[in-house]
Amino acid sequence: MSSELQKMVLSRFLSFYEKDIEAEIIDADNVVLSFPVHFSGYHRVEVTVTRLTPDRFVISDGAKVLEELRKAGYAATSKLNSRLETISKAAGIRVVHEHLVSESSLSDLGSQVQRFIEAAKSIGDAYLVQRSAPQRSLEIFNLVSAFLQSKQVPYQRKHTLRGKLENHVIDFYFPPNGVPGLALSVMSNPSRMAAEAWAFKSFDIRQVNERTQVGVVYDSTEASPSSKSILSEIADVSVPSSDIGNLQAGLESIGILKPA
Amino acid sequence: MQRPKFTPYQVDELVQVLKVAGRTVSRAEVRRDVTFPLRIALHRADSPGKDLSLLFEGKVPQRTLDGVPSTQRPSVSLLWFNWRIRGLDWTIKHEVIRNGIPTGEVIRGWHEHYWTEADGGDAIREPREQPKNSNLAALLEWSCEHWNIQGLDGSLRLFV
Repeated sequence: MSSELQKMVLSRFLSFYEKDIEAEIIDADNVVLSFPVHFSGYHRVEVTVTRLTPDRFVISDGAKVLEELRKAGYAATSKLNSRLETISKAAGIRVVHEHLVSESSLSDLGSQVQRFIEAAKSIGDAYLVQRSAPQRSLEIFNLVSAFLQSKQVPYQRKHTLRGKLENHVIDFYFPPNGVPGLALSVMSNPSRMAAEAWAFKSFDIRQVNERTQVGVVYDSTEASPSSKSILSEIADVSVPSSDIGNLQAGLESIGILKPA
Repeated sequence: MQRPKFTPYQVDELVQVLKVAGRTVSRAEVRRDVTFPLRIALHRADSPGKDLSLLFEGKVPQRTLDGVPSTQRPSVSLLWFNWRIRGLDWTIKHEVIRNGIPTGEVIRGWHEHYWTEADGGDAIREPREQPKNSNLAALLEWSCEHWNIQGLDGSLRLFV
């Protein structure tokens, strides 16, 4: 009886699996298969199988997994690629031009496709689900924008400012115009490390732009005492998001806003 | 990852209103084997000076592997504060999800991503009309018509 149940379950499962796999046949030696295996966002794992010789096959993902990583905000840096290679090495997969690639003989083709699918899913899930860097807080941006608009202060968004070592993208930039300029950043995740990185950025900006001061509006609910201390020490204008009204005093101290 | 508090109504209003193409944020190009997308800032036609943080993005397929043909198609999206609020994409098969759960429906080929409170930009539906072709120019034409954008035609020269 149990053997009969096993056969019935397996047969139903395999029948479903077979029916749910979709294919796009490119030519006699290339086929793309879409498996009912999903990574984050319900993306199906798609695998291209190419027959090189009757006994040699190339399995690849059409750069889909890394493309999804980029859509989720991960830059395809050499560091990321080398980490992915470490993960996929166990499954015999290489990363070539953003494609996950594996080779197989005819006899291993079934098991190699299975290993490939599992590795692709692991990579997609691991990176898409456990995103460490939070998105910039839209609310703080809106808060600062609304404040500046209410004060009718002209500013530039996403302005690139040259530093001595590198260029920096500034969230809100007030060019010097009779009064000193201000490079104002929004920090939604003011960890100690982020505050230290911001301090480096400030030093670099100041070295080249003598007439520009630096400021920051940070998420007060996320800031630790040490990061608050770094930000208030380094910045000419340091404003917690819970007290956005202080931005007025900061802008007045530079001369961008006239005292009421 | 915290999703922004856009409501579908705000998003629908933004999609329905007439928009004009502004500056080109990045050209579609291949750098160090990575294909970067075309990105163009969009503004409301009734207030073209106001920054909406709204981008049109057009992606061409990644470079293919030598000897392995690709079935990838280009895709287009509208990004609001870097979140996809609309998109047109092609896959062999894509499950429809609602509230994070697959409904059992599937869409094959072209599908449109739209914004819902529960699923963000992962929600998909059949496009009202299929694009006329599978190249970026055809998708651009489709986007102008269905997402109410003017002036993207001048960006054709920015393709790879």
